[in-house]
Amino acid sequence: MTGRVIEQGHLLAHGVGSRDDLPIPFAYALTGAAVALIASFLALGLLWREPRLDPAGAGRPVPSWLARGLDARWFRVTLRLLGVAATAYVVMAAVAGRDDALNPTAGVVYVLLWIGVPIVSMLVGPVWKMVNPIRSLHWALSRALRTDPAEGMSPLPASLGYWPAAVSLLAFVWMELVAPDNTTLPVLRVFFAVYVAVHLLAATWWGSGWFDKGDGFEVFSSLAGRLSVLGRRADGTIVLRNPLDGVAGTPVAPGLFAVVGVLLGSTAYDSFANTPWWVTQLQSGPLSAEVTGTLGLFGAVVIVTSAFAGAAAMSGRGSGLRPLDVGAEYAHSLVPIVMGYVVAHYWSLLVLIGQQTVIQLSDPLGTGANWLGTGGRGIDSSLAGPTLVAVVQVVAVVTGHVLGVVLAHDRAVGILPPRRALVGQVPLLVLMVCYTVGGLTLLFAA
Amino acid sequence: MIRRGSCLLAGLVLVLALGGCASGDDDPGDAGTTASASATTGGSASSSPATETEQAVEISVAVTDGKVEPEPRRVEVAKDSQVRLIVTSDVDDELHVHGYEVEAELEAGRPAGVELVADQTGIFEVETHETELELLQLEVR
Repeated sequence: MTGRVIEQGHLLAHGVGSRDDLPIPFAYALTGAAVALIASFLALGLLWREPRLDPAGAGRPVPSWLARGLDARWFRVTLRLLGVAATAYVVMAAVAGRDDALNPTAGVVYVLLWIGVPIVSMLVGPVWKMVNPIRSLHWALSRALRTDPAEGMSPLPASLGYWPAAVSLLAFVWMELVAPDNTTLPVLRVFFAVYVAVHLLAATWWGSGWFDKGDGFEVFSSLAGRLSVLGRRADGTIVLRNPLDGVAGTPVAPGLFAVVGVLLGSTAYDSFANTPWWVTQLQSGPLSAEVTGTLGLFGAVVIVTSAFAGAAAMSGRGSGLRPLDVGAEYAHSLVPIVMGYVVAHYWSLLVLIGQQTVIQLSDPLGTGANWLGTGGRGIDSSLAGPTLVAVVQVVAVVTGHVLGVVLAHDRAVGILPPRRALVGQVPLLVLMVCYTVGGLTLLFAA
Repeated sequence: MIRRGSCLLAGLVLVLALGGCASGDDDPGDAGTTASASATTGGSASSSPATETEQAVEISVAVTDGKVEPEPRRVEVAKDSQVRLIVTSDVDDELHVHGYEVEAELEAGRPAGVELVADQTGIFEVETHETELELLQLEVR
Protein backbone atom coordinates (compact mmCIF):
# COMPACT_ATOMS: atom_id res chain seq x y z
CA MET A 1 0.00 0.00 0.00
CA THR A 2 1.83 3.04 -1.18
CA GLY A 3 -0.99 5.54 -1.15
CA ARG A 4 -0.06 9.14 -0.67
CA VAL A 5 -2.19 12.20 -0.53
CA ILE A 6 -1.28 14.98 -2.91
CA GLU A 7 -2.24 18.63 -2.96
CA GLN A 8 -5.85 19.57 -3.52
CA GLY A 9 -4.81 21.37 -6.68
CA HIS A 10 -4.83 18.09 -8.52
CA LEU A 11 -8.62 18.30 -8.70
CA LEU A 12 -8.43 19.38 -12.33
CA ALA A 13 -6.07 16.68 -13.48
CA HIS A 14 -7.90 15.92 -16.70
CA GLY A 15 -11.26 16.89 -18.05
CA VAL A 16 -13.02 19.49 -16.04
CA GLY A 17 -13.66 18.61 -12.47
CA SER A 18 -12.80 15.52 -10.58
CA ARG A 19 -16.15 14.43 -9.32
CA ASP A 20 -19.61 14.08 -10.71
CA ASP A 21 -22.87 14.53 -8.90
CA LEU A 22 -24.69 11.53 -7.58
CA PRO A 23 -27.69 10.49 -9.66
CA ILE A 24 -30.85 12.26 -8.56
CA PRO A 25 -33.38 10.06 -6.69
CA PHE A 26 -35.89 8.39 -8.99
CA ALA A 27 -38.78 10.11 -7.22
CA TYR A 28 -37.27 13.50 -8.08
CA ALA A 29 -36.93 12.57 -11.75
CA LEU A 30 -40.47 11.24 -11.87
CA THR A 31 -41.93 14.29 -10.12
CA GLY A 32 -40.03 16.61 -12.43
CA ALA A 33 -41.25 14.79 -15.52
CA ALA A 34 -44.84 14.78 -14.27
CA VAL A 35 -44.78 18.50 -13.50
CA ALA A 36 -43.29 19.24 -16.93
CA LEU A 37 -45.91 17.14 -18.69
CA ILE A 38 -48.86 18.59 -16.80
CA ALA A 39 -47.60 22.16 -17.19
CA SER A 40 -47.26 21.63 -20.93
CA PHE A 41 -50.85 20.54 -21.45
CA LEU A 42 -52.21 23.16 -19.08
CA ALA A 43 -50.33 25.75 -21.11
CA LEU A 44 -51.90 24.48 -24.28
CA GLY A 45 -55.39 24.67 -22.84
CA LEU A 46 -55.25 27.72 -20.62
CA LEU A 47 -52.77 30.24 -21.98
CA TRP A 48 -53.67 33.35 -23.95
CA ARG A 49 -54.80 33.22 -27.59
CA GLU A 50 -53.12 36.44 -28.75
CA PRO A 51 -49.39 37.16 -28.37
CA ARG A 52 -48.84 38.82 -24.99
CA LEU A 53 -45.09 39.09 -24.64
CA ASP A 54 -43.94 42.51 -25.63
CA PRO A 55 -40.20 43.05 -25.84
CA ALA A 56 -40.57 46.57 -27.21
CA GLY A 57 -42.53 48.07 -24.32
CA ALA A 58 -41.71 45.62 -21.54
CA GLY A 59 -41.06 46.33 -17.91
CA ARG A 60 -40.69 49.42 -15.82
CA PRO A 61 -37.80 51.86 -16.29
CA VAL A 62 -35.19 51.74 -13.53
CA PRO A 63 -34.62 54.95 -11.53
CA SER A 64 -32.93 57.57 -13.67
CA TRP A 65 -29.76 57.77 -11.53
CA LEU A 66 -29.25 54.03 -12.05
CA ALA A 67 -29.91 54.23 -15.80
CA ARG A 68 -27.47 57.15 -16.11
CA GLY A 69 -24.83 55.27 -14.13
CA LEU A 70 -25.18 52.07 -16.18
CA ASP A 71 -24.93 53.98 -19.44
CA ALA A 72 -22.19 56.33 -18.27
CA ARG A 73 -19.05 56.35 -20.35
CA TRP A 74 -16.80 55.97 -17.29
CA PHE A 75 -18.71 52.85 -16.25
CA ARG A 76 -18.39 51.29 -19.70
CA VAL A 77 -14.69 52.17 -19.97
CA THR A 78 -14.04 50.79 -16.49
CA LEU A 79 -15.68 47.48 -17.40
CA ARG A 80 -13.62 47.25 -20.61
CA LEU A 81 -10.40 47.99 -18.72
CA LEU A 82 -11.29 45.40 -16.09
CA GLY A 83 -11.93 42.86 -18.85
CA VAL A 84 -8.57 43.59 -20.44
CA ALA A 85 -6.74 43.49 -17.09
CA ALA A 86 -8.35 40.20 -16.05
CA THR A 87 -7.55 38.68 -19.44
CA ALA A 88 -3.95 39.87 -19.25
CA TYR A 89 -3.67 38.27 -15.80
CA VAL A 90 -4.92 34.91 -17.06
CA VAL A 91 -2.78 35.10 -20.20
CA MET A 92 0.21 35.62 -17.91
CA ALA A 93 -0.70 32.41 -16.06
CA ALA A 94 -1.22 30.61 -19.36
CA VAL A 95 2.04 31.76 -20.92
CA ALA A 96 4.45 32.12 -18.01
CA GLY A 97 2.85 29.83 -15.41
CA ARG A 98 3.79 26.25 -14.69
CA ASP A 99 1.82 23.70 -16.68
CA ASP A 100 0.51 21.69 -13.76
CA ALA A 101 -2.78 21.06 -12.02
CA LEU A 102 -2.32 24.15 -9.84
CA ASN A 103 -2.37 26.51 -12.83
CA PRO A 104 -5.66 28.44 -12.83
CA THR A 105 -6.02 28.73 -16.63
CA ALA A 106 -8.14 25.62 -17.25
CA GLY A 107 -10.45 26.48 -14.36
CA VAL A 108 -10.85 30.03 -15.66
CA VAL A 109 -11.70 28.78 -19.16
CA TYR A 110 -13.93 25.79 -18.42
CA VAL A 111 -15.64 27.02 -15.26
CA LEU A 112 -15.51 30.80 -14.83
CA LEU A 113 -15.78 31.75 -18.51
CA TRP A 114 -17.85 28.87 -19.83
CA ILE A 115 -20.27 28.35 -16.92
CA GLY A 116 -19.85 31.40 -14.70
CA VAL A 117 -20.28 34.10 -17.35
CA PRO A 118 -23.60 32.75 -18.73
CA ILE A 119 -25.00 32.28 -15.22
CA VAL A 120 -24.00 35.81 -14.21
CA SER A 121 -25.49 37.04 -17.50
CA MET A 122 -28.75 35.29 -16.66
CA LEU A 123 -28.85 37.28 -13.41
CA VAL A 124 -27.74 40.76 -14.50
CA GLY A 125 -27.77 40.85 -18.31
CA PRO A 126 -25.30 40.31 -21.16
CA VAL A 127 -22.06 41.10 -19.33
CA TRP A 128 -19.62 39.49 -21.75
CA LYS A 129 -20.19 42.00 -24.52
CA MET A 130 -19.25 44.72 -22.05
CA VAL A 131 -15.95 43.13 -21.06
CA ASN A 132 -15.13 40.96 -24.12
CA PRO A 133 -11.36 41.40 -24.51
CA ILE A 134 -11.46 40.56 -28.25
CA ARG A 135 -13.81 43.52 -28.73
CA SER A 136 -11.34 45.75 -26.88
CA LEU A 137 -8.46 44.41 -28.94
CA HIS A 138 -10.45 45.07 -32.12
CA TRP A 139 -11.19 48.60 -30.95
CA ALA A 140 -7.49 49.26 -30.36
CA LEU A 141 -6.59 47.76 -33.73
CA SER A 142 -9.18 49.91 -35.49
CA ARG A 143 -7.79 53.00 -33.78
CA ALA A 144 -4.29 52.08 -34.95
CA LEU A 145 -5.57 51.57 -38.51
CA ARG A 146 -7.63 54.78 -38.27
CA THR A 147 -10.84 52.98 -39.17
CA ASP A 148 -14.26 53.01 -37.50
CA PRO A 149 -14.55 49.83 -35.37
CA ALA A 150 -18.23 49.49 -36.27
CA GLU A 151 -17.64 49.78 -40.02
CA GLY A 152 -15.12 47.24 -41.25
CA MET A 153 -14.32 46.67 -44.92
CA SER A 154 -17.62 45.18 -45.98
CA PRO A 155 -21.13 44.94 -44.53
CA LEU A 156 -21.86 41.75 -42.54
CA PRO A 157 -24.13 39.53 -44.67
CA ALA A 158 -27.44 39.00 -42.87
CA SER A 159 -27.62 35.46 -44.20
CA LEU A 160 -24.66 34.47 -41.99
CA GLY A 161 -26.86 35.03 -38.95
CA TYR A 162 -25.68 33.10 -35.90
CA TRP A 163 -23.97 30.33 -37.88
CA PRO A 164 -20.43 31.58 -37.11
CA ALA A 165 -21.29 31.51 -33.38
CA ALA A 166 -22.64 27.98 -33.71
CA VAL A 167 -19.37 26.90 -35.35
CA SER A 168 -17.18 28.63 -32.77
CA LEU A 169 -19.19 27.10 -29.93
CA LEU A 170 -18.92 23.67 -31.51
CA ALA A 171 -15.14 24.11 -31.72
CA PHE A 172 -15.02 25.05 -28.06
CA VAL A 173 -17.19 22.17 -26.80
CA TRP A 174 -15.12 19.78 -28.91
CA MET A 175 -12.01 20.97 -27.09
CA GLU A 176 -13.81 20.81 -23.74
CA LEU A 177 -15.31 17.35 -24.13
CA VAL A 178 -13.22 15.44 -26.66
CA ALA A 179 -9.73 16.87 -27.23
CA PRO A 180 -6.94 15.02 -25.43
CA ASP A 181 -4.94 16.95 -22.81
CA ASN A 182 -7.53 19.72 -22.93
CA THR A 183 -6.58 21.18 -19.56
CA THR A 184 -2.92 21.54 -20.43
CA LEU A 185 -1.51 24.91 -21.34
CA PRO A 186 -0.30 24.12 -24.90
CA VAL A 187 -3.80 23.02 -25.97
CA LEU A 188 -5.48 26.04 -24.35
CA ARG A 189 -2.91 28.44 -25.81
CA VAL A 190 -3.37 27.12 -29.34
CA PHE A 191 -7.16 27.13 -29.11
CA PHE A 192 -7.40 30.70 -27.88
CA ALA A 193 -4.66 32.00 -30.19
CA VAL A 194 -6.66 30.66 -33.15
CA TYR A 195 -9.98 31.80 -31.67
CA VAL A 196 -8.79 35.36 -31.09
CA ALA A 197 -7.09 35.57 -34.50
CA VAL A 198 -10.18 34.35 -36.38
CA HIS A 199 -12.60 36.68 -34.60
CA LEU A 200 -10.26 39.64 -34.80
CA LEU A 201 -9.88 39.16 -38.57
CA ALA A 202 -13.61 38.66 -39.07
CA ALA A 203 -14.42 41.78 -37.05
CA THR A 204 -11.82 43.78 -38.96
CA TRP A 205 -13.46 42.70 -42.22
CA TRP A 206 -17.12 42.97 -41.20
CA GLY A 207 -17.02 45.47 -38.33
CA SER A 208 -17.66 44.99 -34.61
CA GLY A 209 -21.23 43.82 -35.28
CA TRP A 210 -19.49 40.50 -35.95
CA PHE A 211 -19.14 39.88 -32.21
CA ASP A 212 -22.91 40.14 -31.65
CA LYS A 213 -23.57 37.22 -34.00
CA GLY A 214 -20.26 35.44 -34.52
CA ASP A 215 -18.37 35.23 -31.21
CA GLY A 216 -19.66 32.10 -29.46
CA PHE A 217 -18.91 33.29 -25.93
CA GLU A 218 -20.62 36.61 -26.51
CA VAL A 219 -23.66 35.01 -28.14
CA PHE A 220 -23.99 32.50 -25.27
CA SER A 221 -23.74 35.30 -22.69
CA SER A 222 -26.19 37.53 -24.55
CA LEU A 223 -28.74 34.72 -24.95
CA ALA A 224 -28.49 33.92 -21.23
CA GLY A 225 -28.77 37.64 -20.51
CA ARG A 226 -32.19 37.66 -22.15
CA LEU A 227 -33.41 35.81 -19.06
CA SER A 228 -32.28 38.63 -16.78
CA VAL A 229 -34.85 40.88 -15.13
CA LEU A 230 -32.56 43.79 -15.99
CA GLY A 231 -32.78 44.56 -19.68
CA ARG A 232 -33.37 47.08 -22.42
CA ARG A 233 -36.38 47.93 -24.49
CA ALA A 234 -35.94 48.26 -28.23
CA ASP A 235 -35.42 52.02 -27.77
CA GLY A 236 -32.57 51.43 -25.30
CA THR A 237 -34.44 52.29 -22.09
CA ILE A 238 -33.10 50.19 -19.21
CA VAL A 239 -35.98 48.41 -17.50
CA LEU A 240 -36.81 45.81 -14.90
CA ARG A 241 -38.84 43.34 -16.88
CA ASN A 242 -40.42 39.94 -17.04
CA PRO A 243 -37.62 37.63 -18.28
CA LEU A 244 -40.07 36.13 -20.78
CA ASP A 245 -40.32 39.51 -22.50
CA GLY A 246 -36.55 39.57 -22.68
CA VAL A 247 -36.29 36.16 -24.31
CA ALA A 248 -39.16 36.93 -26.70
CA GLY A 249 -37.11 39.89 -27.91
CA THR A 250 -34.21 37.72 -29.09
CA PRO A 251 -33.42 38.81 -32.67
CA VAL A 252 -34.76 36.27 -35.17
CA ALA A 253 -31.84 35.28 -37.37
CA PRO A 254 -30.60 32.24 -39.28
CA GLY A 255 -28.57 29.74 -37.28
CA LEU A 256 -29.93 30.62 -33.84
CA PHE A 257 -31.43 27.16 -33.51
CA ALA A 258 -28.01 25.69 -34.31
CA VAL A 259 -26.43 27.74 -31.49
CA VAL A 260 -29.05 26.45 -29.08
CA GLY A 261 -28.65 22.92 -30.46
CA VAL A 262 -24.88 22.97 -29.90
CA LEU A 263 -25.34 24.16 -26.31
CA LEU A 264 -28.05 21.63 -25.49
CA GLY A 265 -26.52 18.71 -27.38
CA SER A 266 -23.05 19.20 -25.91
CA THR A 267 -24.37 19.39 -22.35
CA ALA A 268 -26.34 16.18 -22.92
CA TYR A 269 -23.24 14.51 -24.35
CA ASP A 270 -21.19 15.61 -21.35
CA SER A 271 -23.72 13.90 -19.08
CA PHE A 272 -23.90 10.80 -21.21
CA ALA A 273 -20.12 10.56 -21.60
CA ASN A 274 -19.75 9.91 -17.88
CA THR A 275 -21.60 6.61 -17.99
CA PRO A 276 -19.34 3.58 -17.58
CA TRP A 277 -20.88 2.20 -20.77
CA TRP A 278 -19.65 5.15 -22.85
CA VAL A 279 -16.28 5.16 -21.07
CA THR A 280 -15.88 1.53 -22.18
CA GLN A 281 -16.72 2.48 -25.78
CA LEU A 282 -14.15 5.26 -25.64
CA GLN A 283 -11.29 3.19 -24.29
CA SER A 284 -11.97 -0.25 -25.75
CA GLY A 285 -14.12 0.45 -28.81
CA PRO A 286 -12.94 -0.19 -32.37
CA LEU A 287 -12.06 3.48 -32.95
CA SER A 288 -9.72 5.75 -31.05
CA ALA A 289 -11.12 7.66 -28.10
CA GLU A 290 -10.92 10.94 -30.03
CA VAL A 291 -12.85 9.60 -33.03
CA THR A 292 -15.49 7.93 -30.86
CA GLY A 293 -15.81 11.06 -28.74
CA THR A 294 -16.11 13.30 -31.79
CA LEU A 295 -18.80 11.07 -33.30
CA GLY A 296 -20.67 10.99 -29.97
CA LEU A 297 -20.53 14.75 -29.47
CA PHE A 298 -21.43 15.68 -33.04
CA GLY A 299 -24.12 12.99 -33.08
CA ALA A 300 -25.72 14.44 -29.94
CA VAL A 301 -25.65 17.95 -31.42
CA VAL A 302 -27.06 16.80 -34.77
CA ILE A 303 -29.86 14.78 -33.16
CA VAL A 304 -30.90 17.57 -30.77
CA THR A 305 -30.73 20.23 -33.49
CA SER A 306 -32.46 18.30 -36.26
CA ALA A 307 -35.21 17.14 -33.88
CA PHE A 308 -35.88 20.80 -33.12
CA ALA A 309 -35.74 21.85 -36.78
CA GLY A 310 -38.15 19.04 -37.66
CA ALA A 311 -40.59 19.88 -34.88
CA ALA A 312 -40.50 23.56 -35.84
CA ALA A 313 -41.10 22.73 -39.50
CA MET A 314 -44.11 20.57 -38.58
CA SER A 315 -45.43 23.31 -36.35
CA GLY A 316 -45.16 25.87 -39.13
CA ARG A 317 -47.24 23.99 -41.70
CA GLY A 318 -50.01 26.26 -42.85
CA SER A 319 -48.26 29.42 -41.71
CA GLY A 320 -46.85 30.26 -45.13
CA LEU A 321 -43.36 30.48 -43.63
CA ARG A 322 -40.43 28.45 -44.91
CA PRO A 323 -39.46 25.61 -42.51
CA LEU A 324 -36.07 27.09 -41.63
CA ASP A 325 -37.66 30.46 -40.92
CA VAL A 326 -40.09 28.80 -38.53
CA GLY A 327 -37.10 27.25 -36.78
CA ALA A 328 -35.59 30.71 -36.41
CA GLU A 329 -38.90 32.04 -35.02
CA TYR A 330 -39.03 29.36 -32.31
CA ALA A 331 -35.33 29.03 -31.46
CA HIS A 332 -35.50 31.54 -28.60
CA SER A 333 -37.95 29.27 -26.74
CA LEU A 334 -35.09 26.81 -26.15
CA VAL A 335 -32.94 29.42 -24.36
CA PRO A 336 -34.48 28.78 -20.90
CA ILE A 337 -34.25 25.03 -21.52
CA VAL A 338 -30.55 25.37 -22.32
CA MET A 339 -29.93 27.48 -19.23
CA GLY A 340 -31.94 25.11 -17.03
CA TYR A 341 -29.83 22.24 -18.20
CA VAL A 342 -26.57 24.20 -17.87
CA VAL A 343 -27.44 25.10 -14.26
CA ALA A 344 -28.50 21.51 -13.51
CA HIS A 345 -25.43 19.97 -15.02
CA TYR A 346 -22.76 22.40 -13.91
CA TRP A 347 -24.01 23.80 -10.62
CA SER A 348 -21.71 21.81 -8.35
CA LEU A 349 -18.81 22.28 -10.77
CA LEU A 350 -19.27 26.04 -10.60
CA VAL A 351 -19.51 25.98 -6.80
CA LEU A 352 -16.54 23.68 -6.16
CA ILE A 353 -14.10 24.22 -9.03
CA GLY A 354 -15.10 27.89 -9.21
CA GLN A 355 -13.83 28.34 -5.66
CA GLN A 356 -10.76 26.28 -6.40
CA THR A 357 -9.99 28.46 -9.42
CA VAL A 358 -10.25 31.63 -7.34
CA ILE A 359 -7.80 30.07 -4.87
CA GLN A 360 -5.42 29.09 -7.68
CA LEU A 361 -5.63 32.54 -9.28
CA SER A 362 -3.78 33.90 -6.28
CA ASP A 363 -0.67 32.07 -7.43
CA PRO A 364 -0.81 32.28 -11.24
CA LEU A 365 2.85 31.49 -11.88
CA GLY A 366 3.21 28.63 -9.44
CA THR A 367 5.77 30.44 -7.33
CA GLY A 368 3.95 30.08 -4.03
CA ALA A 369 2.66 33.66 -4.22
CA ASN A 370 -0.63 34.78 -2.72
CA TRP A 371 -1.34 37.95 -4.72
CA LEU A 372 -5.10 38.02 -4.28
CA GLY A 373 -5.14 36.86 -0.67
CA THR A 374 -7.35 33.90 -1.59
CA GLY A 375 -4.51 31.40 -1.59
CA GLY A 376 -5.04 29.99 1.86
CA ARG A 377 -8.78 29.48 1.60
CA GLY A 378 -10.44 26.11 1.65
CA ILE A 379 -13.31 25.02 -0.56
CA ASP A 380 -16.71 25.43 1.06
CA SER A 381 -18.89 22.60 -0.17
CA SER A 382 -22.06 23.55 1.68
CA LEU A 383 -23.67 24.74 -1.58
CA ALA A 384 -22.94 21.42 -3.25
CA GLY A 385 -24.47 18.92 -0.82
CA PRO A 386 -26.24 15.99 -2.49
CA THR A 387 -29.81 16.95 -1.55
CA LEU A 388 -29.40 20.60 -2.50
CA VAL A 389 -27.78 19.63 -5.79
CA ALA A 390 -30.61 17.23 -6.65
CA VAL A 391 -33.22 19.88 -5.86
CA VAL A 392 -31.38 22.53 -7.88
CA GLN A 393 -31.11 20.14 -10.81
CA VAL A 394 -34.77 19.18 -10.98
CA VAL A 395 -36.03 22.71 -10.33
CA ALA A 396 -33.71 24.15 -13.00
CA VAL A 397 -34.70 21.63 -15.66
CA VAL A 398 -38.43 21.90 -14.98
CA THR A 399 -38.36 25.71 -14.76
CA GLY A 400 -36.54 25.89 -18.08
CA HIS A 401 -39.13 23.59 -19.60
CA VAL A 402 -42.11 25.59 -18.37
CA LEU A 403 -40.63 28.90 -19.57
CA GLY A 404 -39.82 27.29 -22.93
CA VAL A 405 -43.39 26.07 -23.33
CA VAL A 406 -44.82 29.51 -22.59
CA LEU A 407 -42.42 31.19 -25.03
CA ALA A 408 -43.22 28.71 -27.79
CA HIS A 409 -46.94 29.20 -27.16
CA ASP A 410 -46.70 32.96 -27.36
CA ARG A 411 -44.75 32.76 -30.62
CA ALA A 412 -47.12 30.15 -32.08
CA VAL A 413 -50.21 32.29 -31.57
CA GLY A 414 -48.26 35.13 -33.15
CA ILE A 415 -47.11 33.44 -36.35
CA LEU A 416 -49.68 30.72 -36.98
CA PRO A 417 -53.19 31.29 -38.33
CA PRO A 418 -55.69 31.17 -35.42
CA ARG A 419 -57.18 27.79 -36.28
CA ARG A 420 -53.69 26.23 -36.51
CA ALA A 421 -52.27 27.95 -33.43
CA LEU A 422 -53.04 25.19 -30.91
CA VAL A 423 -52.45 22.14 -33.11
CA GLY A 424 -49.31 23.76 -34.45
CA GLN A 425 -47.74 23.86 -30.99
CA VAL A 426 -48.06 20.16 -30.36
CA PRO A 427 -44.84 19.12 -32.19
CA LEU A 428 -42.82 21.60 -30.15
CA LEU A 429 -44.50 20.59 -26.90
CA VAL A 430 -43.74 16.95 -27.58
CA LEU A 431 -40.14 17.85 -28.41
CA MET A 432 -39.72 19.86 -25.20
CA VAL A 433 -41.20 17.03 -23.14
CA CYS A 434 -38.71 14.69 -24.83
CA TYR A 435 -35.81 17.03 -24.04
CA THR A 436 -36.90 17.34 -20.43
CA VAL A 437 -37.56 13.65 -19.86
CA GLY A 438 -34.24 12.93 -21.60
CA GLY A 439 -32.48 15.47 -19.39
CA LEU A 440 -34.01 14.11 -16.20
CA THR A 441 -33.17 10.59 -17.33
CA LEU A 442 -29.54 11.58 -17.75
CA LEU A 443 -29.52 13.18 -14.31
CA PHE A 444 -31.06 10.05 -12.84
CA ALA A 445 -29.12 7.41 -14.72
CA ALA A 446 -25.88 8.86 -16.03
CA MET B 1 -41.84 11.28 -37.84
CA ILE B 2 -39.38 13.63 -36.30
CA ARG B 3 -41.38 13.79 -33.13
CA ARG B 4 -41.46 10.06 -32.89
CA GLY B 5 -37.76 10.08 -33.67
CA SER B 6 -36.92 12.36 -30.79
CA CYS B 7 -39.03 10.35 -28.36
CA LEU B 8 -37.26 7.26 -29.59
CA LEU B 9 -34.04 9.08 -28.85
CA ALA B 10 -35.10 9.78 -25.30
CA GLY B 11 -36.06 6.14 -24.95
CA LEU B 12 -32.76 5.07 -26.44
CA VAL B 13 -30.83 7.32 -24.10
CA LEU B 14 -32.77 5.82 -21.23
CA VAL B 15 -32.05 2.27 -22.31
CA LEU B 16 -28.38 2.99 -22.96
CA ALA B 17 -27.94 4.81 -19.71
CA LEU B 18 -29.68 2.13 -17.71
CA GLY B 19 -27.78 -0.54 -19.61
CA GLY B 20 -24.58 1.26 -18.79
CA CYS B 21 -25.34 1.28 -15.11
CA ALA B 22 -26.68 -2.22 -15.05
CA SER B 23 -23.61 -3.67 -16.71
CA GLY B 24 -21.64 -2.49 -13.72
CA ASP B 25 -23.81 -4.33 -11.26
CA ASP B 26 -24.59 -7.63 -12.88
CA ASP B 27 -21.09 -8.95 -12.73
CA PRO B 28 -21.07 -11.18 -9.71
CA GLY B 29 -19.27 -14.07 -11.40
CA ASP B 30 -15.78 -13.10 -10.42
CA ALA B 31 -15.66 -12.72 -6.69
CA GLY B 32 -12.19 -11.22 -6.76
CA THR B 33 -13.18 -8.30 -8.96
CA THR B 34 -16.47 -7.34 -7.42
CA ALA B 35 -16.80 -4.92 -4.59
CA SER B 36 -17.44 -6.91 -1.49
CA ALA B 37 -18.37 -5.51 1.84
CA SER B 38 -16.27 -7.48 4.26
CA ALA B 39 -18.09 -6.02 7.18
CA THR B 40 -19.58 -8.55 9.52
CA THR B 41 -22.83 -6.61 9.67
CA GLY B 42 -25.13 -8.24 7.19
CA GLY B 43 -26.32 -4.96 5.65
CA SER B 44 -25.25 -4.00 2.16
CA ALA B 45 -22.50 -1.47 1.83
CA SER B 46 -24.65 0.89 -0.12
CA SER B 47 -27.84 1.44 1.77
CA SER B 48 -26.95 2.38 5.32
CA PRO B 49 -25.95 6.02 5.64
CA ALA B 50 -22.89 7.22 7.43
CA THR B 51 -22.77 5.30 10.62
CA GLU B 52 -19.34 5.32 12.15
CA THR B 53 -18.91 1.59 11.73
CA GLU B 54 -15.82 0.32 9.95
CA GLN B 55 -17.16 -1.07 6.75
CA ALA B 56 -14.35 -2.09 4.48
CA VAL B 57 -14.87 -2.42 0.75
CA GLU B 58 -12.24 -4.11 -1.35
CA ILE B 59 -12.16 -3.57 -5.12
CA SER B 60 -9.76 -5.35 -7.45
CA VAL B 61 -9.07 -4.39 -11.04
CA ALA B 62 -6.62 -5.70 -13.60
CA VAL B 63 -5.22 -3.89 -16.65
CA THR B 64 -3.91 -6.08 -19.46
CA ASP B 65 -3.01 -4.86 -22.97
CA GLY B 66 -4.86 -1.61 -22.34
CA LYS B 67 -8.04 -3.46 -21.40
CA VAL B 68 -9.66 -3.04 -18.02
CA GLU B 69 -10.99 -6.17 -16.32
CA PRO B 70 -13.74 -6.04 -15.17
CA GLU B 71 -15.00 -3.38 -17.59
CA PRO B 72 -15.30 0.13 -16.18
CA ARG B 73 -18.30 0.23 -13.87
CA ARG B 74 -19.72 2.14 -10.99
CA VAL B 75 -19.03 0.73 -7.54
CA GLU B 76 -21.37 2.02 -4.90
CA VAL B 77 -19.99 2.48 -1.39
CA ALA B 78 -21.50 4.04 1.70
CA LYS B 79 -20.12 7.36 2.87
CA ASP B 80 -17.36 7.03 5.45
CA SER B 81 -16.60 3.44 4.59
CA GLN B 82 -13.04 2.24 4.22
CA VAL B 83 -12.22 1.55 0.58
CA ARG B 84 -9.30 -0.57 -0.54
CA LEU B 85 -8.44 -0.49 -4.24
CA ILE B 86 -6.12 -3.16 -5.59
CA VAL B 87 -4.87 -2.76 -9.13
CA THR B 88 -2.70 -5.11 -11.12
CA SER B 89 -1.29 -3.59 -14.30
CA ASP B 90 0.89 -5.30 -16.91
CA VAL B 91 2.93 -2.12 -17.31
CA ASP B 92 4.43 0.37 -14.88
CA ASP B 93 1.87 3.06 -14.25
CA GLU B 94 0.42 5.46 -11.74
CA LEU B 95 -2.98 5.03 -10.10
CA HIS B 96 -5.08 8.10 -9.30
CA VAL B 97 -8.37 8.47 -7.46
CA HIS B 98 -9.92 11.76 -8.54
CA GLY B 99 -11.44 14.04 -5.94
CA TYR B 100 -9.75 12.17 -3.11
CA GLU B 101 -6.45 12.91 -4.82
CA VAL B 102 -4.82 9.69 -3.77
CA GLU B 103 -2.13 8.22 -5.96
CA ALA B 104 -0.05 5.08 -6.01
CA GLU B 105 2.80 3.80 -8.15
CA LEU B 106 1.99 0.62 -10.03
CA GLU B 107 4.77 -1.79 -10.82
CA ALA B 108 4.19 -4.10 -13.80
CA GLY B 109 2.62 -7.36 -12.73
CA ARG B 110 2.49 -6.58 -9.01
CA PRO B 111 -0.79 -5.84 -7.30
CA ALA B 112 -0.67 -2.45 -5.62
CA GLY B 113 -3.24 -0.10 -4.36
CA VAL B 114 -4.55 2.55 -2.10
CA GLU B 115 -6.80 2.80 0.87
CA LEU B 116 -9.06 5.71 1.54
CA VAL B 117 -11.96 6.70 3.71
CA ALA B 118 -14.87 7.64 1.45
CA ASP B 119 -15.80 10.82 3.27
CA GLN B 120 -17.01 12.93 0.32
CA THR B 121 -20.15 12.08 -1.61
CA GLY B 122 -20.28 12.04 -5.39
CA ILE B 123 -18.96 10.00 -8.27
CA PHE B 124 -15.19 9.80 -8.52
CA GLU B 125 -13.12 8.41 -11.36
CA VAL B 126 -10.31 6.02 -10.68
CA GLU B 127 -7.79 6.09 -13.49
CA THR B 128 -4.25 5.36 -14.57
CA HIS B 129 -1.99 8.19 -15.66
CA GLU B 130 0.36 6.57 -18.18
CA THR B 131 -2.13 4.38 -20.02
CA GLU B 132 -4.86 6.98 -19.43
CA LEU B 133 -7.54 4.43 -18.68
CA GLU B 134 -10.56 4.89 -16.49
CA LEU B 135 -10.72 1.80 -14.28
CA LEU B 136 -13.96 2.40 -12.46
CA GLN B 137 -16.10 5.05 -10.85
CA LEU B 138 -16.52 5.18 -7.10
CA GLU B 139 -20.07 6.20 -6.24
CA VAL B 140 -20.05 7.41 -2.65
CA ARG B 141 -23.46 8.05 -1.12
